[in-house]
Amino acid sequence: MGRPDLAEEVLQEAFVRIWYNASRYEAHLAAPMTWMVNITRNLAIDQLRKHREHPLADGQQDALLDDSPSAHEQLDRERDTHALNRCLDSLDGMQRQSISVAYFKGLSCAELAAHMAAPLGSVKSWIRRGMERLRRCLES
Amino acid sequence: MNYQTTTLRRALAADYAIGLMPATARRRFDGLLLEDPALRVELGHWQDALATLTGELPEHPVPDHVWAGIQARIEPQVLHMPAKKAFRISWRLLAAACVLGAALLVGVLYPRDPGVTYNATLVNASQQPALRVQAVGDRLQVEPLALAAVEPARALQLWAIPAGGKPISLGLVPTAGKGQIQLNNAQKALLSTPLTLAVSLEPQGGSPTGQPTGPVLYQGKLASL
Repeated sequence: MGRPDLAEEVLQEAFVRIWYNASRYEAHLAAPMTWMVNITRNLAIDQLRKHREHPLADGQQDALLDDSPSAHEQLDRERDTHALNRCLDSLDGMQRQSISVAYFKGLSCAELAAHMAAPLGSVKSWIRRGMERLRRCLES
Repeated sequence: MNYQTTTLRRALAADYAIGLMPATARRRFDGLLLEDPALRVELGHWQDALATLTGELPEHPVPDHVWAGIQARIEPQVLHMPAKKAFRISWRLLAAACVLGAALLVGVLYPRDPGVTYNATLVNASQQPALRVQAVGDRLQVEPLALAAVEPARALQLWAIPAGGKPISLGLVPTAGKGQIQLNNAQKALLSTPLTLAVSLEPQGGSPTGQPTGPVLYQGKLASL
């Protein structure tokens, strides 16, 4: 999230939702942690997008420099441990980059295109083809 | 859009799992998921695969004040309804005794019911009284006056809204007959601050988020006596 106060807000909301929605959890679909991570991620993405629409003043922006590892560093750290990483490695560079950046930064397609300085159509096609290949690789 | 095409279903589930969807599209997809078990399975594969990405992120402990906030919002608010059938006879006896007692108190000792410290009459959109709420000790007595019919799959939920604050759930409103809501200390303390009470329409069992999700049907200010 880049800001501890926003992260705490999301965390609190996530726990409350998990509590009230526990009866909707379906054990055969996903592990409990996956289910909870998904709820939290969706809330975090909403919060990130809401705040991107209200950009911070310059001073505030400087005060909030994110010194946490980048999406790539986070991804690198986990290389070789999971099937997913093996499969991500089999993707083209742009496919892999667009999927991992979108996942870790909570970007929409349009934001992703701006972030990667690439046409929207290309980004969409990297994601689509990348995920198709990923699926085939994970199934094999 | 035809959601039965395999390619489209896979692509949408992938977009959803990555988090690419705009909020509106995500809610539409949430709706589809509810009715489509196969789509939930498709999504489950992606989420399980992608979750390994977050599996080894460094862990941070939850700060105490966040825990406190979470607990304040999930503490179960139990609404105690009188068990009508089992106690019908004793209830009547009790009612008769109460009337007698009240007459004595009103006539002899007090000008009004001594237990009631705060009350509110909640009104609907056209300012018609719908619900009376009275605080007695550590309980709220809730008495429907004229509530609109509620579908079986819905419930009415009572909220306390502090001035400039977020609504805090007080419990579900009985749609027929009187009920009582037990207040915890935090809620009791809340009553002495300027407060608006509101009733919103929620799914059965109450709001899934801990905040009102449906329209506010009735509201009114809480006044001290």
